Amino acid sequence: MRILVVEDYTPLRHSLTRGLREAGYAVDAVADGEHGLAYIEAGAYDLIVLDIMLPVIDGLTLLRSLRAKRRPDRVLLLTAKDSVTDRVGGLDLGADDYLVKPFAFEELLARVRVLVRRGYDKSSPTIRIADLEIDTAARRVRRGSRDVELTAREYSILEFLAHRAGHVVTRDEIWESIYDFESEHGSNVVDVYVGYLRRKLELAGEPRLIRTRRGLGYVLDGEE
Amino acid sequence: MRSIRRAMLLGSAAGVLLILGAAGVIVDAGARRVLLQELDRSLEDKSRLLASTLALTTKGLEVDFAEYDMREFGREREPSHLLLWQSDGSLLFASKRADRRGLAPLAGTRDDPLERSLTLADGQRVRVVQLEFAPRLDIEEDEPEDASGTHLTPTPDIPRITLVLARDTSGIDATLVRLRGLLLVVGLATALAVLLVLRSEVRRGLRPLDLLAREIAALDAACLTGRIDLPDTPLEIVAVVARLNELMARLDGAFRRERTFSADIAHELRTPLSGLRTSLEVELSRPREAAGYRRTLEESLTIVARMQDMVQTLLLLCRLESGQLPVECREVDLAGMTREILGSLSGIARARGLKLRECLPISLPLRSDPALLETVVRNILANAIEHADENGYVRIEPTPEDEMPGLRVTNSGSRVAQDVVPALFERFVRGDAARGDTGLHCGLGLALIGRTAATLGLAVRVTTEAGGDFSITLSAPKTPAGPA
Repeated sequence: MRILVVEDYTPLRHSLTRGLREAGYAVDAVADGEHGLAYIEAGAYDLIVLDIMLPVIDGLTLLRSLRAKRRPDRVLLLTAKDSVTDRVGGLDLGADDYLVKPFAFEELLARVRVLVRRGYDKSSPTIRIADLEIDTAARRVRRGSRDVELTAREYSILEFLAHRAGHVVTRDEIWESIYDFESEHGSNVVDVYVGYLRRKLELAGEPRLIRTRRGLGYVLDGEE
Repeated sequence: MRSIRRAMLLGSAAGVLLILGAAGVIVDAGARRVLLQELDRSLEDKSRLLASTLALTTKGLEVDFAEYDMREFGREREPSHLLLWQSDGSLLFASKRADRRGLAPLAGTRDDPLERSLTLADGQRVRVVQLEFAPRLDIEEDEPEDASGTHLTPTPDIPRITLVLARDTSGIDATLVRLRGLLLVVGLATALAVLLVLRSEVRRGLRPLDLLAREIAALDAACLTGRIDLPDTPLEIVAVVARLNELMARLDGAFRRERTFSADIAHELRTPLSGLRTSLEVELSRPREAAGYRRTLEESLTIVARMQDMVQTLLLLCRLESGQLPVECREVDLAGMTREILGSLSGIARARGLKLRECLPISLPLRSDPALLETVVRNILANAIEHADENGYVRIEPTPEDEMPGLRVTNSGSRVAQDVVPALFERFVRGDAARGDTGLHCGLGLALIGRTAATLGLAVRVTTEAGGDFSITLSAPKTPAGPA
């Protein structure tokens, strides 16, 4: 899952980036609207966390520009303005949610999860594929009657695959969802993490869940 | 609760009743006086007529009432009384049932009739006329005379007779009672009618006050933009309405400023507070190395220091605006002070790659408050160093010779448009079209510069050219002395 943070207040931008990365998201962060727009046009983000008062191009202008181009990017507005008019104005411009500063980071994470889920037309926080159950709210994974312990990165890849269950996902797509622009592209990193996932999800005797499509990528489904 | 309407009605009612009561008393007294005068005149006429019947003859006093109507003295109910008293106090004549004792003449000699009211022993109320007179002398012509022609019968001395005539006044009393009753009824009816008219008029007269009260009651304390608008405002409350509307406008302005100020403070504190909270929450979300905690604590401390600066600046602004800050002026060297402050800020300028050009004279004497002047100069210099473009320059020079003494600080890379300049000295107004570096520049620096300079009586002028130079000129007042 990839998130863009556009926030000009450096301490907040750094903390958001750090916290979201630790929660398993790939995060890019910029300090003004102009760079924000350039990043959005260059990459595919599951969510944009956007401050309103920004240098060069303010958040609302950026949002208006996205919607004018009919881009469906999900946007969570962050602002110090808390009046009803401000909130309604932001939502009317096409923001998907609105969070007033200062906020609890846990609340921001919860809203991020909801908005990411909404992007895949999932209303329930739980994804079920065969006997695999992924609780995206609690970030817990169970297979049959056992709990599966995953690292943040492993979980991110699994959730990414689960949102596209039954469809082939390329290695590049997986890589982009878990790494930001600052990360160096390793050719077999995705394969390594998928291998870890398989070892934890598919114990001896259990049906396979993640299949390899040679030359294409991976697909997660419950079919034998 | 005191009611103007009730007070006016009660006051008017008391006034009307007092006037009508006084009028009734006057009318009653007048009517009584007229009736008694009529009666007195009638009694006097009758007295004189009866007195004329008394004659003094050679045989003595003779009275003959045969030719007169004397029935009033003989009737059973409310009889009149006639008494003729001789000067020695003996009674010459008394009508039937006359109260001799009660109707005894008053002492003293009088030629004019004397009137008075009396209540007799039997309770009868009468009006009495007392007339003192000399009886007519009635001597026959054929009385024997002597040779000289003098009557042989001596002429008797003419005595003084007092006639007392009393007539019952119960008719007048009854008339007066009827008159009083009539006056009372008319008075009460008049009072009632006047009160009804007054009530209606008072209500009509006070209607603008009712409307005013309703308009005031309808004003919303949370929204002071409403104004009192009375149709056909009476002259008496035009000033009240005007003053109230002025007061509302002042309150509205004050509340609006306060709301904006509070919102601005809240807004400006929210972002650093958010940074602080998120930073601490993320840090505490999992166990970390000691160095990580230390870094987060240092970042938090930096944020807190910025917030503290902002709060202190706001407090200083509040104290300046409320006139709570004492100003103590003395001779200050502006050039020396500027160099000292510049030295303390040079590290920041170096870090930003700025060229500092200071070309002030050795000394620039100015009469001002040193502490407040330092606040102004420090903020002007800090503003220039923070807003100059990377690797740009900051120039500090004296004001031109044709201007008042002072200094001009110019920085390169202005992002402030000329049309923003008038609002630059307001709180939380930033020169940039879109804000940069939230938490570093919250739009208080120029407000503080402007307000402090005004307190010191110094002039501040800004010139800007977007993409070019941004200059702040601080100069001495045109009058030689600063504020006391």
